[in-house]
Amino acid sequence: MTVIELRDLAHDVTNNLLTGFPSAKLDEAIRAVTGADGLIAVTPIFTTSYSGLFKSFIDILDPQSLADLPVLLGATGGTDRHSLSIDYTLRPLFTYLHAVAVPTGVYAASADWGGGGESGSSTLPTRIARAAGELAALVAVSDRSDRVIDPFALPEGFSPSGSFRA
Amino acid sequence: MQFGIFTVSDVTTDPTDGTTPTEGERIKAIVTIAKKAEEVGLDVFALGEHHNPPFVSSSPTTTLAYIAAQTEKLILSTSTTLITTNDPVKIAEDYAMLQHLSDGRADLMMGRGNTGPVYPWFGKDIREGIPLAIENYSLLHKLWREEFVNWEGKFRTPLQGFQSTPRPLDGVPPFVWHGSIRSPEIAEQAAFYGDGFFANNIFWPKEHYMRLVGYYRQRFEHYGHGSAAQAIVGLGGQAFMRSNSQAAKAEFRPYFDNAPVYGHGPAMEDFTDQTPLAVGSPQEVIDKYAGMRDHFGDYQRQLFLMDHAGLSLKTVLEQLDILGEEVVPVLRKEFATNRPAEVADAPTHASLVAKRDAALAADAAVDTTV
Repeated sequence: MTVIELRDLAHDVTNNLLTGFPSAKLDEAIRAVTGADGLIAVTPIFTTSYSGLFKSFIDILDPQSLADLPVLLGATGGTDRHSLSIDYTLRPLFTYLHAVAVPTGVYAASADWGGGGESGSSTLPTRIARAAGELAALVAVSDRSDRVIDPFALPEGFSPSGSFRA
Repeated sequence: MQFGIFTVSDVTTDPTDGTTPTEGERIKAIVTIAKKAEEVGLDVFALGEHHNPPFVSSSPTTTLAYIAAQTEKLILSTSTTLITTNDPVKIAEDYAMLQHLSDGRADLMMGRGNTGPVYPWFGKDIREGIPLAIENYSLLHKLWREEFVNWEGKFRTPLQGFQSTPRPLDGVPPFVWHGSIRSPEIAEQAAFYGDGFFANNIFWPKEHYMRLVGYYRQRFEHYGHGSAAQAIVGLGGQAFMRSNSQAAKAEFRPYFDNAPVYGHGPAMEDFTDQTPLAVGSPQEVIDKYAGMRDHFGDYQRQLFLMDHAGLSLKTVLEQLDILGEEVVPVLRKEFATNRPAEVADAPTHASLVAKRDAALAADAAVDTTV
Protein backbone atom coordinates (compact mmCIF):
# COMPACT_ATOMS: atom_id res chain seq x y z
CA MET A 1 0.00 0.00 0.00
CA THR A 2 1.46 3.33 -1.08
CA VAL A 3 0.01 6.65 0.10
CA ILE A 4 0.62 9.60 -2.22
CA GLU A 5 -0.11 13.16 -1.02
CA LEU A 6 -0.39 15.37 -4.09
CA ARG A 7 0.49 18.42 -2.01
CA ASP A 8 4.05 17.05 -1.75
CA LEU A 9 4.15 16.87 -5.54
CA ALA A 10 2.34 20.10 -6.43
CA HIS A 11 5.38 21.86 -7.94
CA ASP A 12 6.43 18.71 -9.78
CA VAL A 13 2.94 18.33 -11.23
CA THR A 14 2.96 21.93 -12.50
CA ASN A 15 6.44 21.50 -13.98
CA ASN A 16 5.30 18.34 -15.75
CA LEU A 17 2.37 20.24 -17.24
CA LEU A 18 4.86 22.79 -18.62
CA THR A 19 7.80 20.60 -19.69
CA GLY A 20 6.04 17.37 -20.62
CA PHE A 21 8.09 15.07 -18.40
CA PRO A 22 7.98 14.15 -14.70
CA SER A 23 10.67 14.67 -12.08
CA ALA A 24 12.08 11.50 -10.54
CA LYS A 25 9.86 11.93 -7.46
CA LEU A 26 6.73 12.43 -9.55
CA ASP A 27 7.67 9.57 -11.86
CA GLU A 28 7.76 7.28 -8.83
CA ALA A 29 4.23 8.34 -7.89
CA ILE A 30 2.96 7.88 -11.45
CA ARG A 31 4.43 4.39 -11.60
CA ALA A 32 2.89 3.51 -8.24
CA VAL A 33 -0.57 4.59 -9.45
CA THR A 34 -0.48 3.19 -12.98
CA GLY A 35 1.06 -0.14 -11.97
CA ALA A 36 -1.33 -0.77 -9.07
CA ASP A 37 -3.96 -3.48 -8.65
CA GLY A 38 -6.28 -1.01 -6.97
CA LEU A 39 -6.53 2.72 -6.34
CA ILE A 40 -8.30 4.75 -3.69
CA ALA A 41 -8.61 8.21 -5.25
CA VAL A 42 -9.60 10.97 -2.86
CA THR A 43 -10.01 14.68 -3.49
CA PRO A 44 -11.53 17.63 -1.70
CA ILE A 45 -14.55 19.03 -3.53
CA PHE A 46 -13.87 22.65 -4.42
CA THR A 47 -16.58 24.71 -6.12
CA THR A 48 -18.66 21.63 -7.01
CA SER A 49 -15.80 19.56 -8.44
CA TYR A 50 -12.49 17.79 -7.79
CA SER A 51 -9.59 20.07 -6.94
CA GLY A 52 -7.42 21.51 -9.70
CA LEU A 53 -4.35 19.75 -8.32
CA PHE A 54 -6.13 16.40 -8.41
CA LYS A 55 -7.16 16.96 -12.04
CA SER A 56 -3.66 18.17 -12.98
CA PHE A 57 -2.21 14.91 -11.71
CA ILE A 58 -4.76 12.94 -13.73
CA ASP A 59 -3.95 15.12 -16.77
CA ILE A 60 -0.27 14.12 -16.82
CA LEU A 61 -1.04 10.40 -16.79
CA ASP A 62 -1.04 8.49 -20.06
CA PRO A 63 -4.78 8.24 -20.82
CA GLN A 64 -4.41 4.50 -21.39
CA SER A 65 -2.55 3.88 -18.17
CA LEU A 66 -5.52 3.47 -15.81
CA ALA A 67 -7.44 1.00 -17.98
CA ASP A 68 -8.94 -1.87 -15.95
CA LEU A 69 -7.78 -0.31 -12.69
CA PRO A 70 -10.20 -0.94 -9.80
CA VAL A 71 -10.85 2.43 -8.17
CA LEU A 72 -12.64 3.53 -5.05
CA LEU A 73 -13.77 7.14 -5.43
CA GLY A 74 -13.68 9.30 -2.32
CA ALA A 75 -14.15 12.97 -1.59
CA THR A 76 -14.37 15.36 1.29
CA GLY A 77 -16.37 18.58 1.32
CA GLY A 78 -17.55 21.38 3.51
CA THR A 79 -21.23 20.63 2.97
CA ASP A 80 -23.15 17.43 2.32
CA ARG A 81 -24.97 19.21 -0.53
CA HIS A 82 -21.94 18.28 -2.70
CA SER A 83 -22.13 14.56 -1.99
CA LEU A 84 -23.24 13.69 -5.53
CA SER A 85 -20.12 15.36 -6.89
CA ILE A 86 -18.44 11.95 -6.77
CA ASP A 87 -20.96 10.69 -9.27
CA TYR A 88 -21.16 13.65 -11.60
CA THR A 89 -17.50 14.72 -11.66
CA LEU A 90 -15.18 11.94 -10.47
CA ARG A 91 -17.04 8.97 -11.93
CA PRO A 92 -17.18 10.26 -15.55
CA LEU A 93 -13.47 11.13 -15.35
CA PHE A 94 -12.51 7.58 -14.38
CA THR A 95 -15.00 6.08 -16.81
CA TYR A 96 -13.31 8.01 -19.61
CA LEU A 97 -10.00 6.48 -18.53
CA HIS A 98 -11.55 3.00 -18.61
CA ALA A 99 -10.85 2.50 -14.93
CA VAL A 100 -13.35 0.35 -13.03
CA ALA A 101 -14.90 2.55 -10.35
CA VAL A 102 -16.78 0.60 -7.68
CA PRO A 103 -20.47 1.51 -7.28
CA THR A 104 -20.14 2.96 -3.79
CA GLY A 105 -18.41 6.31 -3.53
CA VAL A 106 -17.37 7.61 -0.14
CA TYR A 107 -18.17 11.23 0.52
CA ALA A 108 -17.41 12.78 3.88
CA ALA A 109 -18.70 16.22 4.88
CA SER A 110 -18.57 18.15 8.11
CA ALA A 111 -21.74 16.42 9.30
CA ASP A 112 -20.03 13.04 9.12
CA TRP A 113 -17.26 14.22 11.41
CA GLY A 114 -19.54 16.25 13.68
CA GLY A 115 -22.37 13.78 14.21
CA GLY A 116 -22.65 10.04 14.48
CA GLY A 117 -24.76 9.77 11.36
CA GLU A 118 -28.46 10.32 11.13
CA SER A 119 -30.78 7.47 11.89
CA GLY A 120 -32.10 5.81 8.75
CA SER A 121 -29.08 6.75 6.63
CA SER A 122 -25.75 4.98 6.37
CA THR A 123 -22.92 6.26 8.49
CA LEU A 124 -19.47 7.08 7.12
CA PRO A 125 -17.98 3.87 8.57
CA THR A 126 -20.68 1.73 6.91
CA ARG A 127 -20.15 3.45 3.54
CA ILE A 128 -16.41 2.93 3.84
CA ALA A 129 -16.89 -0.74 4.70
CA ARG A 130 -19.24 -1.32 1.74
CA ALA A 131 -16.97 0.51 -0.76
CA ALA A 132 -13.88 -1.24 0.61
CA GLY A 133 -15.56 -4.62 0.18
CA GLU A 134 -16.40 -3.81 -3.44
CA LEU A 135 -12.84 -2.67 -4.12
CA ALA A 136 -11.23 -5.65 -2.37
CA ALA A 137 -13.20 -8.09 -4.51
CA LEU A 138 -11.82 -6.49 -7.70
CA VAL A 139 -8.26 -6.10 -6.38
CA ALA A 140 -8.18 -9.80 -5.49
CA VAL A 141 -8.56 -10.79 -9.13
CA SER A 142 -6.49 -7.98 -10.73
CA ASP A 143 -3.32 -8.96 -12.62
CA ARG A 144 -2.36 -5.36 -13.46
CA SER A 145 0.78 -5.25 -11.29
CA ASP A 146 2.16 -8.31 -13.14
CA ARG A 147 1.60 -6.95 -16.64
CA VAL A 148 4.54 -6.12 -18.89
CA ILE A 149 3.91 -3.18 -21.21
CA ASP A 150 5.94 -2.68 -24.39
CA PRO A 151 6.29 1.07 -24.94
CA PHE A 152 7.42 0.44 -28.54
CA ALA A 153 4.61 -1.87 -29.59
CA LEU A 154 3.83 -0.98 -33.20
CA PRO A 155 0.21 -0.70 -34.27
CA GLU A 156 -1.17 -3.91 -35.73
CA GLY A 157 -0.52 -4.16 -39.46
CA PHE A 158 2.11 -1.37 -39.41
CA SER A 159 4.57 -1.50 -42.28
CA PRO A 160 7.63 0.77 -42.39
CA SER A 161 7.52 1.01 -46.19
CA GLY A 162 3.78 1.20 -46.69
CA SER A 163 3.61 -2.10 -48.55
CA PHE A 164 6.30 -4.31 -47.04
CA ARG A 165 5.10 -7.10 -44.78
CA ALA A 166 7.71 -8.76 -42.58
CA MET B 1 32.13 11.98 -35.78
CA GLN B 2 30.38 15.10 -37.02
CA PHE B 3 29.64 18.13 -34.86
CA GLY B 4 27.35 20.94 -35.78
CA ILE B 5 24.41 23.13 -34.89
CA PHE B 6 20.70 23.03 -35.63
CA THR B 7 18.20 25.84 -35.45
CA VAL B 8 14.42 26.10 -35.26
CA SER B 9 14.54 29.68 -36.61
CA ASP B 10 12.39 31.22 -33.89
CA VAL B 11 11.93 34.98 -33.69
CA THR B 12 11.82 35.51 -29.93
CA THR B 13 11.98 38.69 -27.87
CA ASP B 14 15.21 38.99 -25.90
CA PRO B 15 13.91 38.90 -22.31
CA THR B 16 16.83 40.96 -21.04
CA ASP B 17 16.18 44.06 -23.14
CA GLY B 18 12.77 43.53 -24.73
CA THR B 19 14.09 43.77 -28.30
CA THR B 20 12.75 41.53 -31.05
CA PRO B 21 14.57 41.07 -34.36
CA THR B 22 12.58 41.61 -37.54
CA GLU B 23 12.03 38.59 -39.77
CA GLY B 24 14.64 40.00 -42.13
CA GLU B 25 17.18 40.44 -39.34
CA ARG B 26 16.58 36.91 -38.08
CA ILE B 27 16.90 35.39 -41.56
CA LYS B 28 20.20 37.19 -42.14
CA ALA B 29 21.32 36.19 -38.63
CA ILE B 30 20.72 32.52 -39.51
CA VAL B 31 23.02 32.89 -42.53
CA THR B 32 25.66 34.62 -40.40
CA ILE B 33 25.41 31.85 -37.80
CA ALA B 34 25.81 29.13 -40.46
CA LYS B 35 28.91 30.82 -41.89
CA LYS B 36 30.29 31.17 -38.37
CA ALA B 37 29.75 27.44 -37.83
CA GLU B 38 32.10 26.70 -40.71
CA GLU B 39 34.59 29.34 -39.56
CA VAL B 40 34.90 27.79 -36.08
CA GLY B 41 35.42 24.30 -37.51
CA LEU B 42 31.98 22.72 -37.14
CA ASP B 43 30.88 20.16 -39.72
CA VAL B 44 27.11 20.52 -40.02
CA PHE B 45 24.46 23.23 -40.13
CA ALA B 46 20.84 22.03 -39.99
CA LEU B 47 17.81 24.26 -40.49
CA GLY B 48 14.24 23.60 -39.42
CA GLU B 49 11.11 24.01 -41.51
CA HIS B 50 8.12 25.92 -40.19
CA HIS B 51 5.17 27.68 -41.76
CA ASN B 52 3.94 29.88 -38.95
CA PRO B 53 5.25 32.73 -36.80
CA PRO B 54 7.29 32.98 -34.60
CA PHE B 55 9.40 30.89 -37.00
CA VAL B 56 10.89 32.21 -40.24
CA SER B 57 12.34 29.17 -41.98
CA SER B 58 9.65 28.19 -44.49
CA SER B 59 12.00 27.60 -47.43
CA PRO B 60 15.00 25.57 -46.25
CA THR B 61 16.53 24.78 -49.64
CA THR B 62 16.55 28.45 -50.66
CA THR B 63 18.35 29.32 -47.44
CA LEU B 64 20.70 26.34 -47.52
CA ALA B 65 21.68 26.97 -51.14
CA TYR B 66 22.46 30.58 -50.27
CA ILE B 67 24.64 29.36 -47.40
CA ALA B 68 26.24 26.70 -49.61
CA ALA B 69 27.36 29.43 -52.00
CA GLN B 70 29.20 31.17 -49.17
CA THR B 71 30.82 28.15 -47.52
CA GLU B 72 33.33 25.52 -48.55
CA LYS B 73 33.11 22.48 -46.31
CA LEU B 74 29.97 22.82 -44.20
CA ILE B 75 27.38 20.04 -44.63
CA LEU B 76 23.91 21.55 -45.04
CA SER B 77 21.07 19.61 -43.49
CA THR B 78 17.55 20.05 -42.14
CA SER B 79 15.95 19.70 -38.73
CA THR B 80 13.48 18.70 -39.96
CA THR B 81 12.00 18.44 -43.48
CA LEU B 82 8.27 17.86 -43.24
CA ILE B 83 7.79 14.51 -44.96
CA THR B 84 4.11 14.66 -44.08
CA THR B 85 2.98 17.87 -45.78
CA ASN B 86 5.58 18.39 -48.53
CA ASP B 87 4.99 16.63 -51.81
CA PRO B 88 7.70 13.94 -52.04
CA VAL B 89 8.18 14.85 -55.71
CA LYS B 90 9.12 18.39 -54.70
CA ILE B 91 11.43 17.16 -51.92
CA ALA B 92 13.16 14.84 -54.40
CA GLU B 93 13.78 17.72 -56.80
CA ASP B 94 14.60 20.46 -54.29
CA TYR B 95 17.20 18.41 -52.44
CA ALA B 96 18.75 16.90 -55.57
CA MET B 97 19.15 20.50 -56.77
CA LEU B 98 20.74 21.47 -53.45
CA GLN B 99 23.03 18.45 -53.71
CA HIS B 100 24.31 19.66 -57.12
CA LEU B 101 24.70 23.29 -56.10
CA SER B 102 26.52 22.39 -52.88
CA ASP B 103 28.77 19.80 -54.55
CA GLY B 104 27.36 17.02 -52.42
CA ARG B 105 27.35 18.88 -49.11
CA ALA B 106 23.63 18.24 -48.51
CA ASP B 107 21.70 15.70 -46.51
CA LEU B 108 18.34 15.94 -44.80
CA MET B 109 16.32 14.83 -41.83
CA MET B 110 12.72 13.75 -42.19
CA GLY B 111 10.25 14.74 -39.50
CA ARG B 112 6.63 15.39 -38.82
CA GLY B 113 7.10 18.78 -37.18
CA ASN B 114 5.59 20.07 -33.98
CA THR B 115 2.74 22.14 -35.40
CA GLY B 116 -0.53 20.28 -35.87
CA PRO B 117 -2.32 23.02 -37.85
CA VAL B 118 0.29 22.81 -40.66
CA TYR B 119 -1.46 19.80 -42.20
CA PRO B 120 -4.51 21.60 -43.64
CA TRP B 121 -2.31 24.49 -44.84
CA PHE B 122 -0.85 22.01 -47.32
CA GLY B 123 -4.03 20.07 -48.03
CA LYS B 124 -3.29 17.15 -45.73
CA ASP B 125 -5.17 15.45 -42.91
CA ILE B 126 -3.52 15.69 -39.47
CA ARG B 127 -5.01 12.33 -38.51
CA GLU B 128 -2.82 10.70 -41.17
CA GLY B 129 0.54 11.93 -39.82
CA ILE B 130 2.33 8.57 -39.58
CA PRO B 131 0.78 7.04 -42.74
CA LEU B 132 1.80 10.20 -44.66
CA ALA B 133 5.36 9.93 -43.35
CA ILE B 134 5.51 6.27 -44.38
CA GLU B 135 3.98 6.61 -47.84
CA ASN B 136 5.64 9.88 -48.82
CA TYR B 137 9.07 8.62 -47.87
CA SER B 138 8.64 5.37 -49.74
CA LEU B 139 7.91 7.42 -52.88
CA LEU B 140 10.81 9.82 -52.24
CA HIS B 141 13.15 6.84 -51.77
CA LYS B 142 12.01 5.45 -55.12
CA LEU B 143 12.22 8.78 -57.00
CA TRP B 144 15.91 9.10 -56.10
CA ARG B 145 16.77 5.52 -57.02
CA GLU B 146 14.69 4.71 -60.09
CA GLU B 147 15.00 6.69 -63.28
CA PHE B 148 11.36 6.38 -64.38
CA VAL B 149 8.82 5.85 -61.65
CA ASN B 150 5.44 4.19 -61.84
CA TRP B 151 3.73 4.61 -58.54
CA GLU B 152 0.34 4.60 -56.93
CA GLY B 153 -0.49 5.42 -53.34
CA LYS B 154 -3.23 6.65 -51.09
CA PHE B 155 -2.31 10.30 -50.59
CA ARG B 156 -1.47 11.72 -54.02
CA THR B 157 -2.18 11.21 -57.70
CA PRO B 158 -0.41 8.24 -59.33
CA LEU B 159 2.81 8.69 -61.30
CA GLN B 160 3.40 7.07 -64.67
CA GLY B 161 6.91 7.00 -66.08
CA PHE B 162 7.77 10.10 -64.10
CA GLN B 163 11.40 11.19 -63.90
CA SER B 164 12.28 13.71 -61.18
CA THR B 165 14.87 16.28 -62.17
CA PRO B 166 17.71 16.88 -61.63
CA ARG B 167 18.81 13.33 -60.92
CA PRO B 168 20.78 12.98 -57.66
CA LEU B 169 24.40 14.08 -57.89
CA ASP B 170 26.58 11.24 -59.27
CA GLY B 171 23.47 9.05 -59.16
CA VAL B 172 23.70 8.84 -55.37
CA PRO B 173 20.80 10.20 -53.28
CA PRO B 174 21.48 12.48 -50.31
CA PHE B 175 21.77 10.64 -47.00
CA VAL B 176 18.56 10.69 -44.99
CA TRP B 177 18.05 10.86 -41.25
CA HIS B 178 14.68 10.35 -39.62
CA GLY B 179 13.95 12.42 -36.55
CA SER B 180 11.44 11.46 -33.92
CA ILE B 181 10.97 12.18 -30.26
CA ARG B 182 8.41 9.54 -29.43
CA SER B 183 7.20 7.42 -32.34
CA PRO B 184 8.53 3.86 -32.60
CA GLU B 185 7.02 3.75 -36.11
CA ILE B 186 9.61 6.29 -37.28
CA ALA B 187 12.50 4.46 -35.59
CA GLU B 188 11.23 1.32 -37.33
CA GLN B 189 11.11 3.15 -40.67
CA ALA B 190 14.69 4.45 -40.28
CA ALA B 191 15.86 0.93 -39.41
CA PHE B 192 14.00 -0.65 -42.32
CA TYR B 193 15.74 1.56 -44.89
CA GLY B 194 19.12 1.52 -43.13
CA ASP B 195 18.86 5.32 -42.84
CA GLY B 196 20.08 7.39 -39.90
CA PHE B 197 17.99 8.06 -36.81
CA PHE B 198 18.17 11.37 -34.99
CA ALA B 199 16.90 11.95 -31.46
CA ASN B 200 16.70 15.65 -30.69
CA ASN B 201 17.63 14.84 -27.08
CA ILE B 202 16.60 18.23 -25.78
CA PHE B 203 13.69 19.21 -23.57
CA TRP B 204 13.30 15.73 -22.01
CA PRO B 205 15.52 13.41 -19.93
CA LYS B 206 18.04 11.44 -21.99
CA GLU B 207 16.59 8.15 -20.69
CA HIS B 208 13.56 8.68 -22.91
CA TYR B 209 15.69 9.03 -26.05
CA MET B 210 18.01 6.20 -24.98
CA ARG B 211 15.10 3.75 -25.17
CA LEU B 212 14.10 5.00 -28.62
CA VAL B 213 17.68 4.89 -29.97
CA GLY B 214 18.16 1.42 -28.46
CA TYR B 215 15.03 0.27 -30.25
CA TYR B 216 16.27 1.73 -33.59
CA ARG B 217 19.66 0.02 -33.22
CA GLN B 218 18.02 -3.33 -32.53
CA ARG B 219 15.73 -3.00 -35.57
CA PHE B 220 18.63 -1.81 -37.80
CA GLU B 221 20.32 -5.09 -37.06
CA HIS B 222 17.07 -7.02 -37.56
CA TYR B 223 16.72 -5.63 -41.09
CA GLY B 224 20.24 -6.74 -41.95
CA HIS B 225 22.02 -3.41 -42.40
CA GLY B 226 24.78 -4.27 -39.92
CA SER B 227 25.12 -4.75 -36.21
CA ALA B 228 23.19 -2.61 -33.72
CA ALA B 229 26.46 -0.84 -32.92
CA GLN B 230 26.80 0.12 -36.59
CA ALA B 231 23.44 1.87 -36.83
CA ILE B 232 23.70 5.56 -37.76
CA VAL B 233 22.70 7.69 -34.78
CA GLY B 234 22.52 11.44 -34.39
CA LEU B 235 21.76 13.36 -31.23
CA GLY B 236 20.76 16.90 -30.43
CA GLY B 237 21.99 18.88 -27.49
CA GLN B 238 21.87 22.29 -25.93
CA ALA B 239 24.51 24.34 -24.17
CA PHE B 240 25.32 27.82 -22.91
CA MET B 241 28.88 28.54 -21.91
CA ARG B 242 31.04 31.22 -20.33
CA SER B 243 34.54 30.89 -18.99
CA ASN B 244 33.19 30.20 -15.54
CA SER B 245 30.10 28.35 -14.47
CA GLN B 246 28.54 31.14 -12.40
CA ALA B 247 28.75 33.68 -15.22
CA ALA B 248 27.13 31.23 -17.65
CA LYS B 249 24.26 30.50 -15.26
CA ALA B 250 23.65 34.16 -14.44
CA GLU B 251 23.61 35.20 -18.09
CA PHE B 252 21.46 32.32 -19.39
CA ARG B 253 18.93 32.25 -16.53
CA PRO B 254 16.55 34.94 -17.89
CA TYR B 255 16.53 33.18 -21.27
CA PHE B 256 15.83 29.86 -19.59
CA ASP B 257 13.12 31.29 -17.34
CA ASN B 258 11.28 32.82 -20.31
CA ALA B 259 12.02 30.18 -22.96
CA PRO B 260 8.96 29.21 -25.02
CA VAL B 261 9.29 25.47 -24.35
CA TYR B 262 10.29 25.15 -20.71
CA GLY B 263 10.06 28.66 -19.29
CA HIS B 264 8.05 29.54 -16.19
CA GLY B 265 8.40 25.96 -14.98
CA PRO B 266 11.24 24.15 -13.25
CA ALA B 267 14.35 25.86 -11.91
CA MET B 268 17.22 25.90 -14.42
CA GLU B 269 19.36 23.76 -12.10
CA ASP B 270 16.66 21.05 -11.90
CA PHE B 271 16.23 21.12 -15.66
CA THR B 272 19.95 20.82 -16.36
CA ASP B 273 20.13 17.88 -13.93
CA GLN B 274 17.22 16.15 -15.66
CA THR B 275 17.93 16.90 -19.34
CA PRO B 276 20.93 17.27 -21.68
CA LEU B 277 20.86 21.09 -21.37
CA ALA B 278 24.29 22.16 -20.11
CA VAL B 279 24.84 25.65 -18.68
CA GLY B 280 28.31 26.27 -17.34
CA SER B 281 32.00 26.32 -18.19
CA PRO B 282 33.29 24.73 -21.40
CA GLN B 283 34.64 21.89 -19.27
CA GLU B 284 31.20 21.18 -17.81
CA VAL B 285 29.72 21.00 -21.31
CA ILE B 286 32.55 18.69 -22.41
CA ASP B 287 31.94 16.42 -19.43
CA LYS B 288 28.21 16.17 -20.08
CA TYR B 289 28.49 15.47 -23.80
CA ALA B 290 31.56 13.23 -23.64
CA GLY B 291 29.34 10.99 -21.49
CA MET B 292 26.61 10.67 -24.14
CA ARG B 293 28.30 7.75 -25.92
CA ASP B 294 28.12 5.79 -22.65
CA HIS B 295 24.34 6.17 -22.75
CA PHE B 296 23.60 5.97 -26.48
CA GLY B 297 26.53 3.95 -27.83
CA ASP B 298 29.12 5.41 -30.24
CA TYR B 299 27.27 7.69 -32.61
CA GLN B 300 27.86 9.72 -35.76
CA ARG B 301 26.46 13.21 -35.42
CA GLN B 302 26.07 15.66 -32.55
CA LEU B 303 24.13 18.85 -33.20
CA PHE B 304 23.71 21.67 -30.69
CA LEU B 305 20.83 24.13 -30.46
CA MET B 306 22.57 27.48 -29.88
CA ASP B 307 20.35 30.26 -31.25
CA HIS B 308 16.97 30.33 -29.59
CA ALA B 309 14.92 31.88 -26.81
CA GLY B 310 15.87 35.41 -27.84
CA LEU B 311 19.66 35.18 -27.49
CA SER B 312 21.22 38.04 -29.45
CA LEU B 313 23.24 37.33 -32.59
CA LYS B 314 26.34 38.69 -30.83
CA THR B 315 25.90 36.22 -27.97
CA VAL B 316 25.24 33.31 -30.33
CA LEU B 317 28.43 34.07 -32.27
CA GLU B 318 30.40 34.19 -29.00
CA GLN B 319 28.86 30.84 -28.06
CA LEU B 320 29.94 29.37 -31.39
CA ASP B 321 33.49 30.58 -30.79
CA ILE B 322 33.56 28.74 -27.47
CA LEU B 323 31.89 25.66 -28.92
CA GLY B 324 34.20 25.47 -31.92
CA GLU B 325 37.42 26.42 -30.23
CA GLU B 326 37.19 24.99 -26.72
CA VAL B 327 34.52 22.27 -26.64
CA VAL B 328 34.35 20.41 -29.95
CA PRO B 329 38.12 19.81 -30.37
CA VAL B 330 38.16 18.09 -26.97
CA LEU B 331 34.99 16.14 -27.74
CA ARG B 332 36.50 14.97 -31.05
CA LYS B 333 39.43 13.47 -29.12
CA GLU B 334 37.16 11.96 -26.47
CA PHE B 335 34.87 10.35 -29.05
CA ALA B 336 37.82 8.99 -31.06
CA THR B 337 39.24 7.26 -27.99
CA ASN B 338 38.32 3.58 -27.92
CA ARG B 339 35.84 4.00 -30.74
CA PRO B 340 35.30 0.47 -32.12
CA ALA B 341 36.60 -0.02 -35.68
CA GLU B 342 33.21 -1.36 -36.79
CA VAL B 343 31.50 1.97 -36.01
CA ALA B 344 31.51 4.00 -39.21
CA ASP B 345 31.53 7.76 -39.57
CA ALA B 346 28.36 9.52 -40.65
CA PRO B 347 27.76 8.88 -44.35
CA THR B 348 28.85 11.74 -46.64
CA HIS B 349 28.37 12.13 -50.38
CA ALA B 350 31.96 10.93 -50.97
CA SER B 351 31.52 7.86 -48.76
CA LEU B 352 28.18 7.00 -50.38
CA VAL B 353 29.67 7.29 -53.88
CA ALA B 354 32.58 5.05 -52.81
CA LYS B 355 30.17 2.53 -51.31
CA ARG B 356 28.04 2.49 -54.46
CA ASP B 357 31.13 2.04 -56.68
CA ALA B 358 32.40 -0.79 -54.47
CA ALA B 359 29.02 -2.53 -54.72
CA LEU B 360 29.03 -2.13 -58.53
CA ALA B 361 32.58 -3.50 -58.75
CA ALA B 362 31.60 -6.47 -56.59
CA ASP B 363 28.57 -7.14 -58.82
CA ALA B 364 30.76 -6.92 -61.93
CA ALA B 365 33.22 -9.41 -60.40
CA VAL B 366 30.36 -11.82 -59.69
CA ASP B 367 29.07 -11.41 -63.28
CA THR B 368 32.42 -12.36 -64.81
CA THR B 369 32.76 -15.48 -62.65
CA VAL B 370 29.30 -16.77 -63.54
